[in-house]
Amino acid sequence: MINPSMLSTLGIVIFAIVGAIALYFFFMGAVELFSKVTLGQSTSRNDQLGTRLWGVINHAVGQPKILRQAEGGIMHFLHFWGIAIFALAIVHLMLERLFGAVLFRSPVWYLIADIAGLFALVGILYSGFRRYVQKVPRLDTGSWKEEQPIVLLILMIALMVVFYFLSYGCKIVATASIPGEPERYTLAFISSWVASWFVGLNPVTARFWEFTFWWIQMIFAFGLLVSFRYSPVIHPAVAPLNIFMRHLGPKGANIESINFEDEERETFGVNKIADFTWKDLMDPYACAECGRCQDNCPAYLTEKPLSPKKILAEIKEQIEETVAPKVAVSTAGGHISFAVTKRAEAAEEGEGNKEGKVKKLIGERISPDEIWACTTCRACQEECPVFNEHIVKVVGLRRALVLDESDFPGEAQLAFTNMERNSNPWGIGWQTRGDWATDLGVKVLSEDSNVEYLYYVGCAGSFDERVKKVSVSLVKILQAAGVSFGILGVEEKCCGDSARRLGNEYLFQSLVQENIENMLNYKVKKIITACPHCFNTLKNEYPQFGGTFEVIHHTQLMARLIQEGKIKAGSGGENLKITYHDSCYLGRYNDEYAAPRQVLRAISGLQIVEMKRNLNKGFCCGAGGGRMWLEEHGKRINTARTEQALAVNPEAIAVNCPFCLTMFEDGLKDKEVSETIKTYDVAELLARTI
Amino acid sequence: MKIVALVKQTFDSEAKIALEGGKINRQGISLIMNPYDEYAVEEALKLKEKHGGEVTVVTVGPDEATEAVRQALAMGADQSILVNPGTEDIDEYTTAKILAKAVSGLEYDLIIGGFRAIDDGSAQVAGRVAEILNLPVVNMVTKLEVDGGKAIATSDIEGGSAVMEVPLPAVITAQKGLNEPRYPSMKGIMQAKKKPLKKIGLSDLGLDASQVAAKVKVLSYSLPPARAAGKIIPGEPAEAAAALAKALREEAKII
Repeated sequence: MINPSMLSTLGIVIFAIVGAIALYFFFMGAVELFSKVTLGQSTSRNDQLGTRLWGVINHAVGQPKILRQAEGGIMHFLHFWGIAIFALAIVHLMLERLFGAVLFRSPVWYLIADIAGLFALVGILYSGFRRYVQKVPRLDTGSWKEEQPIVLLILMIALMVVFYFLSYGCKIVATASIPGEPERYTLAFISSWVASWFVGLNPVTARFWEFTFWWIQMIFAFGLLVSFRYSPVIHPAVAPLNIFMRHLGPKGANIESINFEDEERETFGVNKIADFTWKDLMDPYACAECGRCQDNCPAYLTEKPLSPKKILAEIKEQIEETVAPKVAVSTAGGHISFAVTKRAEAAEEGEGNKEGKVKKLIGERISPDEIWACTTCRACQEECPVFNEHIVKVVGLRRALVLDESDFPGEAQLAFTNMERNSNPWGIGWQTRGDWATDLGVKVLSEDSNVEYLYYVGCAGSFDERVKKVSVSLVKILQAAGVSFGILGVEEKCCGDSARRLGNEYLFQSLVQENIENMLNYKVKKIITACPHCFNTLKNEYPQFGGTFEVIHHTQLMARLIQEGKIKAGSGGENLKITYHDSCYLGRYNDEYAAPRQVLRAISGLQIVEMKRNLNKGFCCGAGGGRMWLEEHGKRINTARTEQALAVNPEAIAVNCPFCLTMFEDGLKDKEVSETIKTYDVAELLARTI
Repeated sequence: MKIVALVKQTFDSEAKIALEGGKINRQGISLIMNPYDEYAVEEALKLKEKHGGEVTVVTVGPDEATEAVRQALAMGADQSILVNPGTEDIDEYTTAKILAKAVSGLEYDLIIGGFRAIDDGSAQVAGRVAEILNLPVVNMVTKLEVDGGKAIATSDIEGGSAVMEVPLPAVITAQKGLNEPRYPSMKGIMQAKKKPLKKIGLSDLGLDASQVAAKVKVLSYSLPPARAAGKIIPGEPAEAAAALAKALREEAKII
């Protein structure tokens, strides 16, 4: 018996034609997107396929990143699961229409399909509520013109669901007397409810409406495929791909190095979109502009011009304006080929906004103030549900300003010159680098390199008066625990963290090469450092240049020494209510949240209170990304962070980073409480109990 | 316009100076382009950008002074000449004489240099070069405009500034505040490797050592006494203030 739910032959033909047209547009959209993205430079994202796939499954099924923010998380969860399962229901019905095949007869399937449709509708309504009633700030609801593509997309999905239910409602009425049919829908509570509106229609009329509603539903489904080519909102299609292509390996090893040996190379930074990698160009298409990044961005939250979301949106707009590809299909010689022509070749970009020319990427599209405001704290990337990489883009743009244009803040120039001449950003004479350790009985490797650890002190620990006390405290701990260690003394150079993040890759690499040469010369295997910036750079970035060492942060070593009983943490002699600040480069970049807290807990008399923004939601002190050396205008990030600390009424603040130490001390002075509330490195708190 | 920039390589201002055998121990000392000469190079480049032309950098010094010259080339200078006098015993007379001779073989509309070098601080060389070449000189310039055949220069004078006009060619010496020297771009650094850097000796200029022999001889060098540690006077404010006044009168003898 022919299934009466099947289309007529004419219907099948029409369906095939309409479907083919929709698929054609979808395919062309994909080709065009591919051509836009591949305008970028090459970068390798095709290793560890298993890990990549698992990431997609994990983040698509469980959506742990999205659910970090409950309300938006639920909205997305309903959307995603609703539409994903509902899409299967549409296919299921399509197969019945085309081939008369009913894959599932179990009423449970129809229940699931109904629930999915309900999820989708509730999710859509809730998203509209968040966007237009609540006006959640991070969503930055735009003008009607800007909202149109989003509304169109959402409306098409919503109507697709509604017409599915209408069609099923009529189907239930039309098939009520066919044996075996009504049993399929016993659990389909929404479809059955809709059917109740049509009860009383004769089966022929009901059948007519069933098909009419179904055609309308399919028009919306095909419309979604077509919209992929024209809409800027293609997040649902690109996001899974972007998660698949995400950066793997250490989070702190995301910045790619430049080969300065390449004599052919003329520019070194990102001056135009074609200088980005293809992954950088794909990121903005995966972005749903949810704004979680800017909600956690210390620059944005202190009213700087930077928003990570906006940077990506600007890049997308620049791509669209530069490329706008037209695809021509030809079938010459029996082979189908695609010729992609670009409205403006990449070379024309950057000529300035003259007659038909595309805007300049830096200056007209993204302002230098935005580019310099980033502290590279990684809060944006930690939150981003689609694994976008904002910071490498900022570094690329900074490289253009520093290496190509030589147009950057004067304070940065001073820091660079200081690092070049005296191997430290302060510019203090390099010969005095080891002076802090005189009389402490610390070995210098040039005299005796037979030690287990190199204690890489870093610039702050060597030259900053306040931070030198941290170095002295750490030496006291290491000596008390009988750790075999030595320092490089005058042979130590700046690790280069600030130089690299300020865009001066050339200076960074020259510092790195000198350091690695010295370390290899002394056969260094293990390195201790008290600075998370040195830690991250030595551990994650030096291997790019042939310097692979076992690098350990001093808080990790202290925790281990306490655990092994080599250090007995006593009492500091006073009871202190202390709040601990997670530095970005130890925390988010290297996932070390436990060790410093273990050390603090081991010290009797300390009571630890947590700030609201802690662990991987920790708020930057404002000094990362080389911002330590730049002027900050407007509300200061360190003041904001100090206020967050003061909100939990601590008697002292504990840090693991020399920059954070400086920033908090300045913040406490700003708030005029520096006399009563002190900032300590974890090592200082431990050292005074020994 | 054709501009000649005079530069000198000096010790880094943060260098730790040590004496050995009555002389300065040059071992391990970082060398930089004299900061006042950096202002001069920057101003020369700005004039070139505005009026067109070329910038030639001239220096007198040992071969290691190449570094300073390369920096000027990386900043954007077009070519350079390094004259190695073959001896360390040189004075302002020697340097000026050699520079004047080297410059006289070039075409120039303007000669610009730092008003002094941060090492010996004698502030003589540019003035001497002007004298030998019979050119007008304006010292310690903080603002410079070149128009037609003349230069309008704002010069630091005691307690104020003076605006002066000189016909070109002339010698200008740069004072802090004239500009903010640029940081070389990668393109600049790469191109500097390919720009002409002429290394010559006295004989190439038609000079012999006796003609430029130093007229001033350094008898000895001494380092300034190490700064004594500060003194904290404890006690109640009134007592401490009294003790401070006493110390200022009796120990420091300044009130």
